[in-house]
Formats: sequence, C-alpha cells, structure tokens
Amino acid sequence: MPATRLLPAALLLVVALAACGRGTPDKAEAAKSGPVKLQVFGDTAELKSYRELIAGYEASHPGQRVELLPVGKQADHMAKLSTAFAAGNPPDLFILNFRRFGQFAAKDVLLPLGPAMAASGQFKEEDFYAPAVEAFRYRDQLMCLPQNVSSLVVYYNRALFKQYGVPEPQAGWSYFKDFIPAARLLTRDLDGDKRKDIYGVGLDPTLIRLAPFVWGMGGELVDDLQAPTTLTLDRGPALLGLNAVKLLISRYRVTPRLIEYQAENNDARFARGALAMLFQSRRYTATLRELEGQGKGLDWDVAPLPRLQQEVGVLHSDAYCMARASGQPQAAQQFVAYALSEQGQGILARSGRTVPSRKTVATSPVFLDPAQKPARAQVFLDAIPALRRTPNVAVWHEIESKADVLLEEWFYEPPLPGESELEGSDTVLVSRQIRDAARPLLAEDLAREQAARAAAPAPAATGEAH
Amino acid sequence: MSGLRAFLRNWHWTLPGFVLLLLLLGLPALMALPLAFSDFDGLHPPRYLGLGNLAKAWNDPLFWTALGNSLTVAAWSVPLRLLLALGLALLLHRPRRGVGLLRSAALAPSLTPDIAWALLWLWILNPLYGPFAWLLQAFGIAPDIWLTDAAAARRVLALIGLWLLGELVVVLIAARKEIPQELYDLSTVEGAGAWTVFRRLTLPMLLPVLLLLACRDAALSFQTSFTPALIITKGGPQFGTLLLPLYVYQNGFEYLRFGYAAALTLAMFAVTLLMIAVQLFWLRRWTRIGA
Repeated sequence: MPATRLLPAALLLVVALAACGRGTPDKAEAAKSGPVKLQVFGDTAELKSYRELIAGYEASHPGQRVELLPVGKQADHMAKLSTAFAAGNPPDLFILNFRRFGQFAAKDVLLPLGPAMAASGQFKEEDFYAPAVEAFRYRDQLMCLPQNVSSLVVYYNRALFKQYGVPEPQAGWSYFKDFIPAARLLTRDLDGDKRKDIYGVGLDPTLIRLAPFVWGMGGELVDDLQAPTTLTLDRGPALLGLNAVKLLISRYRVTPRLIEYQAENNDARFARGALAMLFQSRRYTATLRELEGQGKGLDWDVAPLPRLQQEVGVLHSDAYCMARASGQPQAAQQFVAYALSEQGQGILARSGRTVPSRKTVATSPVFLDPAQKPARAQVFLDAIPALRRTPNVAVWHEIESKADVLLEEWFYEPPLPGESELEGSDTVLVSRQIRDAARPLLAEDLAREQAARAAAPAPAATGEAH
Repeated sequence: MSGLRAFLRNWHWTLPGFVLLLLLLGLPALMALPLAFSDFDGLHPPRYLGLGNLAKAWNDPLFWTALGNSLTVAAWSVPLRLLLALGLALLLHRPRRGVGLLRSAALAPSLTPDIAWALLWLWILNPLYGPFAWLLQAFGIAPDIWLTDAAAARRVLALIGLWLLGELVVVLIAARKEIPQELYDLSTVEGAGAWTVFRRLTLPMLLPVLLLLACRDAALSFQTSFTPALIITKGGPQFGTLLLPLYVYQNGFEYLRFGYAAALTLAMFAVTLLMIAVQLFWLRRWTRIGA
C-alpha cells in the first residue's frame, strides 16, 4: 500500500477505536431497555444458585431479563465494579459486603434501595433480621438490602471428636475451659515424626476473624462505631482478647504454623480431615456440601463461637445494591423484590451458601432442612441477637487490608526476645501499629463526612436520632 | 510535508504498531498525568489538588517500602536476566541439531500468559507440597520459608522473573549473528583464547545491544513483577513484596484512590527514567574506559 494512503487509514482506525469508548445515544437507549445487569462474586456453586435465582425470576416475570455478570473473587469483583463506575457504566445491581459498601455509599453513587422499595411496598424492614439491615444503613438511609445474615461459627469434624473421645461442643461452651482443652486433645502427631498431622484449630489471623475475641473480652475495635476516630485494639480488654487468640499458637500450638498455613489454607486442611475445628462463616457450608456431592464428604457440624467473658458474634452479610446511574431502576427493584421474597431467598438458601436475611425463610425447613448438613443450622440463627459489626466507613476495607498484614506477622511470629508468650508485648506493639496505620485514614474519612454533612441541605425536623 | 512523506516512506511498516502504542499506552498515560494532581475516586469528577498527592506519597511509609522492594527486585533480576540471556544466546546462536527446540524453550515462558506461569510457580514454591520443597528435602535441606520471609520472598520474585528472558535471548542471538565471522577467524589466527575473544570482541560488539536491553529490562522489571507479586506473594509477608505496581493497583482499584494511584505511577515513571539514566551513564563510562 502506498505510504500516503496509510495516514487516512490510520486516522480512520483512531476514530473507530475512539468510537468504541462510548456508546452512541441510540445504543445507550437500547441498553436501557436491555436486561438488568447483576454483578456478583462467588465460586461455581454460588454462581449456580444465582443463575437459578435469575431463571426463577424470568419464569415468574415474563418479558423481564437479568444478565448475570459473575466474578470469581471478591477482590476482583470490587476492582471490576470500581472500573465500571469510573467508566460511567456500572451494573444496575451488584452484591456488596457490608465491610466494603461504605466506600461506595460515601461517594453517593448508590441509590438508597430501602426508601425506594419501602415506598412501593416491595420491602418491609421488620421482615428481615435487624443486624443485617442496620449494617447497610448509611447517613440514616438504608442504602442496600441484605441478602443474608451469616456469622462466624465453629465448623467441627465430628468423626475426629468421636475418634479421640472429645465431647462435642455445646451451646455456651467456654473458650478456656472447653474449647482450648478440646483443641489440645485433637492436635495429633499420628506417625511420631514430631510433626502434627491433625491440628485442633484453624483461624485466619485477620481483623474480622479476631473481632469477636476482642468483643468477647469486653474490648472494642473502634472508639465510636458511627464516627470512629481511632482503633482501640491497644486498650486493656481488647489486648486480652488478642492474647487469648495468640495462645493458640504460642503456648498450646494447636493451630498450623506459618509454613503449614502458607502451604495449605485452613479451609483446605479442614476439608481433607486434618483440622478438627475451623472458624468460618456460612459460605463454607456450600463448599462442604459440594465435596459431599463428589464423594469426599466429612462427618461435620457447626457450633457457636466459644464464650469468653461475653457472648458475641461477628456479622457477615452481603446485600443487593443499586447504582444511582442505573438506566432501569424499576426493573432492577423488581428483581431485588423477587430475590428477597420467600421464593427468591429459598432458592439461594438451598445452595447452602446463605443464611437468609428474611426471617420466615431462615426459620423454615428450606434453611433448617434436617436432611442437609449442618445438622445444627439453628446455631446460625441463635447467634443473630448477639451479632456485632465493624463501622460503615469508606476506608474500612483499606484499614482491614493493612491490619491483616500486621496481624498475620504478629500471630505467627514468636514472642519478642526475652519475654514469655503471656507477657504480650508483641500484642501491644501490633495493636499500636494498627492504630497508627488507621488513624490518618479515619481522620480523612471523618473530614469528608463532615464536609458532606455541611454541604447537604438541612434535613427536615423528623426528630430521628442517629 | 516532504519530511512526513520521507518518514512514511521509510518507516511505514512501523505505523500500525506505532498507532496502537500511541492509542493504548501513550494516550492513557497522557490522560493519567493530570489525574496525578487531582483527587479522583473514579466516581466523581477530579478535583484539583496541586502537588497534594505527591506530598502524600512523600509522607507515605508504604510508598517508600514499595519503592525499596521494587528497586531490590529490579537490582536482582535485571543483571541476572541479562547475564543468563547472554549466556544462552552465545550457546544457542550457532545452527546445530536441536537448537531450534532449545531456542523455542527459551522463548516459551515469555509467550505464556502471566497468570498461567504465576499459578504454576505458586504450586512449585509451595513450602510443603511443591516440587521445589521435595527437591531441597532430597538434598537434606529443610524447606525454608521462602514465601514467609520478606527478604527471601523478594529474591524469589527476582528469580521467577529470570524465566522471562526469551525476547532478550532472541535479540542477542540476532546481534551475535551480526558480528562478522572474519573477526573471530582473525582472533584465532592471533591465538586469542575463548575468554579473550569474549572480552575483547564479543562483549564490546554486543555492548550497544546489551545497553538497550538493560534499559528496556529495567523499565519492564517494574511491570513484569506485578503478576507474581499479586498472585504468588500477595504483597506479603510483612509488605516485603509490596511492589510499586501492586501498590498502585491497590490504591486505584481497591481503595478508589485513582488520583493517588496516578501520582504513584508518575513517581514510578520518574524512578524508571532515573534507573535508565544511571545505567546509561555507567555503561557509557565503562565503554569509554574499555575503548
């Protein structure tokens, strides 16, 4: 081709590629009448249940269509979501965990689904568990509608308990009197090579996993749940909670060492029968059921968290959120109404992945199916009244990310030279490091909140308290 | 206009690549530049911040950690990769039986998607169940915690990067073939040994290419280490493999701080330029001394 003809061709290519960036008005209009886009994250079992949910919706709502945008991991889901928002093309609906929804809510890009759907009679708060609902309230508005109300429980291998004559966990069991002795009895070196083949406990040393221990000893994560200015892990009771966890590895050695943890995560270790007890949320049930389907099932059940000084649990909840920029809010809300209905919640509950946020479904045989493991599914429901949560601030995910790195190092590192594991200087040190890392982030968040409140028009005098 | 015509006549084969480069790299880089001076969360229009993001980076200990980690990994991987590539190129430049297969083997890792080889390495380096651990155990060496010790994990990332030397080998083979055979014949007649031939002939002749590859590799090392740092070490342990590209990614896509991420990218660009300038300075000086 003559060189002089290449220039117009190149320009044409530039124009064509530029046109790919944004849809034409006609295309944008067409998109509005297209399917409602729902972005979710989860493994294959979870995605399968979302597909069933959509199929059920489309069958009962002729003419309505929902397109599933599946993502494997939550981190990738968040990256894809933020990119979609930045590109001005977010999905109509998406699932958000309550620990991450603050960063979107704070930016005012979510349409408050609560008021919108309550006004149309599609949502009644009292039908759902309060801890899950409250977790998605931001600046007094219910932004997202909870799909589930899970919590941290202890999964335990019943076969190992029976084999070694250890009594199974009961409601109200004590951390020091029951849980740790059981963990010690269950930690075994089967072949005498001085390496543990079975460990008593698996606990990921992350902030969200350690939170119930902090609360359980009467401590707090932050100084003010609504408007936190600092983390308070370095204060007395919180330190006791952290030290109680550290004993598992430093004193009793009932949990895998770092090298073992790096080689095989706790979920996989439990699934192959080399871990007697595992701290996990409801979503792990779906994994264990899938393994059973493959003939690799365990004899397992769930137990409540062992009690320290107070009975307390930590909320794990995801919700349907809607982009303010959605081109079809009515259709999207209609889908959410179906997903939160008894029928819709029932479909997801059958997958085993969720503890339904709707009370009638959670207390029905759909969730408490005696033919399905865990036999003691009621444990998840009994935990609900004592559930506590982390703050809904935009920077919480960032704080957790930084804290988790420090906590992992603290948990697996031996005590500082010259001290016993009971002195806990390293616990004081790590809690201060976390506090110092979080402080500027919280200050930044607080300043933004104050600016947002100052800029917002004065609310009508409703007499509502924060 | 005649200059443009001359350019198009002489360089038209490069145009498609050049246009794509401009569109896919140049244009986004140019658009990201103003973001570095703004508060931009991807959800609202950017707000001008002046040098605020750069000042924040200056006071951000994690930025310095990430920069130090990136430089350490580059300092290990760039010279090692060049050295290995040079060795392979000198071994594989002569046509002989099976050499094509060996050249393909050297190039193959560069053609494999990053995520695929990163997952493979994740398995290979598993400290208890990976083949690397078994190999060490076979020699009576305890499987060390190469992914749980910060310094060791950085070295592992550098070593993993060594596999991506295919392009370097190809370029160096081509460069080696360009050296006239007469010069080697003359060296033989003069009685020069292999080491003298390499030091006095091969290396100086390859030096311009090596210089170019070193600069390219230094720039690339910041990018190619992203995937293993994300997949294999996840920035850990103890932020030990938190490399700059990973920190940029976290700030942009996880924390919605696109403005700050753009500022970090700008800093990364400046550091890359500095690294290249230092390399050019030393290599030119060395060349002059050698001459």
